[in-house]
Amino acid sequence: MKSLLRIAIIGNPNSGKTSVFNKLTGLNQKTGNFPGVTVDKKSSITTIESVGKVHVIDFPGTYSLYPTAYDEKVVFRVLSNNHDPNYPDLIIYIADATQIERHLLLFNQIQDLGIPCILCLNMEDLAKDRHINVNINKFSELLSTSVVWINGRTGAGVLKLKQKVRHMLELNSKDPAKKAFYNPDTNTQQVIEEVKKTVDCKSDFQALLIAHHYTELDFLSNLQKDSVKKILKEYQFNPLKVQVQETMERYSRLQNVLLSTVIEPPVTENNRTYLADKILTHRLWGPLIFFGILLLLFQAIFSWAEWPMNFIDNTVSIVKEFLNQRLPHAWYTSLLTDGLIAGMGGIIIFIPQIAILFLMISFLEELGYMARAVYLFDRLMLRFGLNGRSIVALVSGAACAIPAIMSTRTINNWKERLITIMVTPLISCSARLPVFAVLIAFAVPQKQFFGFVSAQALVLMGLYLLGILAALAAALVFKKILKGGESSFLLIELPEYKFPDWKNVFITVRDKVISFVHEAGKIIIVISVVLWVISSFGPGSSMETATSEAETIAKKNTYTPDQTNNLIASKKIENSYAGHLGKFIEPVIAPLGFDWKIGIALITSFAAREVFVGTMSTIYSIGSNDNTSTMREKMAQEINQKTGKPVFNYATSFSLLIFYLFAMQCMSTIAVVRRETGTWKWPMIQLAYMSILAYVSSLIVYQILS
Amino acid sequence: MEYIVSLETIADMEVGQTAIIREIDLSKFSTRMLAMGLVPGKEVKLVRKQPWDGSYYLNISNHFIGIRDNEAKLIKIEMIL
Repeated sequence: MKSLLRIAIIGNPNSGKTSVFNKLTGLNQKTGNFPGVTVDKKSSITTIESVGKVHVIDFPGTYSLYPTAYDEKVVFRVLSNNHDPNYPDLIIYIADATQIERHLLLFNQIQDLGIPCILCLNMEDLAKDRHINVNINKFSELLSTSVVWINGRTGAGVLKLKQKVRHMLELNSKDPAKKAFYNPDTNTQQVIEEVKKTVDCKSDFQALLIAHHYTELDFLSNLQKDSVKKILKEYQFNPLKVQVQETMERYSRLQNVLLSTVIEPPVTENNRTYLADKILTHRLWGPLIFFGILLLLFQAIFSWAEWPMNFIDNTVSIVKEFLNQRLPHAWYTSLLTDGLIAGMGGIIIFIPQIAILFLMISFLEELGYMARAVYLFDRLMLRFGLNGRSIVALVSGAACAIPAIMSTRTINNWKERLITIMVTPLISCSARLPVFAVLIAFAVPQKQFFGFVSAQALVLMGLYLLGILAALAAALVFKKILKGGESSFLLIELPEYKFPDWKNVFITVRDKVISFVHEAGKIIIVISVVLWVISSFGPGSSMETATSEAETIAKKNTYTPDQTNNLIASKKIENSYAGHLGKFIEPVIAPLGFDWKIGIALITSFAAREVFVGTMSTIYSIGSNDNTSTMREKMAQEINQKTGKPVFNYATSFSLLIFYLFAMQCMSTIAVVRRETGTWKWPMIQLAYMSILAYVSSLIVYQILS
Repeated sequence: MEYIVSLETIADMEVGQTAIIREIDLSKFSTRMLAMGLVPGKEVKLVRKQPWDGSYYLNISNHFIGIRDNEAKLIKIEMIL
């Protein structure tokens, strides 16, 4: 297969890069990973007239080729290796026309790499509003590049950009040895020459990049790395100093270019953003408004998502019932309906909440507000060993820990990122809600305060708060234990507020939902089959005995067929492998107030918390068509055979609530943590500390309350 | 305009004050600071500060940046009187 021409979209963060990419490619996008790293790579195959199909790749936004954040590093990794599978044939560089000087720095570096470039001056409308005037001909001549005005939001200029792309690709410009913009000093130039002897380079600047980053470049052989190391030592190369010198020289040359080509009237302080931030980042109003927004967010998750969730729930039951009736009554039907479909239903039920949460988060992100939240809470987060940027993960954790943990990639300090990953699963996610909803009824009476505040709602809120407090406390402990004083920084751009581009919001939500279904899905499907096996089969002939026993009881008490089936299911699970496991662990969980039936539910819900509810309803022989209130009644009648008291007294219920609040009952999260941290060490530590925390807290709660 | 020469940093500025950036101390963040627009010769205004040693809100020719206390100490300035 002939490989397609590659076009890279590169620019600073907040340059409006994503909008241009979306306008250029439409919805036909693929999200993957850059090889060897967990950095999202968005790409698309697009057709350019008379050239044919090309591969357009959106690179993460970066300020320079000397970045500090993890995902930004992908840009120099790819660009310093002219054999990289993602190495572009053409670069479309997006610059914010209202911040030309700053945005030209990276462009200038990229140009020195000798890759053909098109410079897009984005946000044409804003630049016009501010009467920014660019002498395009002279500008393009002095920078020796083609320049296009563009408006990523409206799509104006995109057609012209495509024409330029076509023109450049048709020329197949081998770039007639353009003079590099930056002239290094003699010592640095010698380093460059030496590096070029060791590694095949297209340009001097590429050699310089290798000199700066060689320790982080996987394409170099150990031999090459050693030689580069020797060269740098020989010439006493001081990377930081050279980087600063280079940056300063580029700026001063750029300033000269801009002086003769761009007229920018002085700006007034009373613009929209400045005025809005007077309130939104105010020391008192700022945090208050943030918490107001959080409340709105939770309100949205819980009330707006209810209707679609019920719809999904009902649809799944209808499908299950339909298949159960139509297909032969055999083990494979049960595997399909009770194993696979039930497992899949358990995933898609959370899509509405996740979609709504990320709709709001990406709306706020596009608006420019999330950067303010990071700015406001950085100091507070720092005290807990976290980073201002952790706030995004912690808020997302209220929907689902999986996308939340993936969002920590923007945290540039490894220790702070790791701590954020370690504590995020303590934030109550949407999968805990159904468990809380069932148990809270036993723990708290249905009382009302002041006529409208229900006691149960208060306890639910208390549980959420407890989760947040536990996350912060755990962060504090990790901060003390973990070593590695790699310095961290804030240095965050507070971009201008602008109305969100709906297409960007929509695509972000779609990507988050897909990644959730993908990450959670593949594990939950496997686990649900395993769970189906251990709860459908038992040692020896115990299952047959259980069935006939149940039938005898049913005959004696003249049960309806439905009641009989429910009783059989309940007797079966008691005698299955899962039932034996439950009885096996009973001595361990008895001090928490749990019996073997709860033990079965703990085991089956190890893969995913929400399975608890389903297992409980099977154990208490409640048909899938009954609603939760029947389940509550049955559970309330359950008597502990040893103590003769109800099992679900408020001590056990509270203990179980606390257990589910803290325990890491989510296989998908473990898998994602493994991937994001690159080793099994961290997910195992996380599993251990959360399990211990859950066990000990439940023990204390039960022993005090009972 | 009159300038006085001193070795002050952004951490010494009062809210509302304006200064000229003179030098960025060499650190791991130097290039990032430069790339974000904290460039010697530019005017910088301290717009606001969060309580309890909280972050600084800077304005550099209508481009806004949030930085921490220890980052502010790396940026040498000359106050405009």
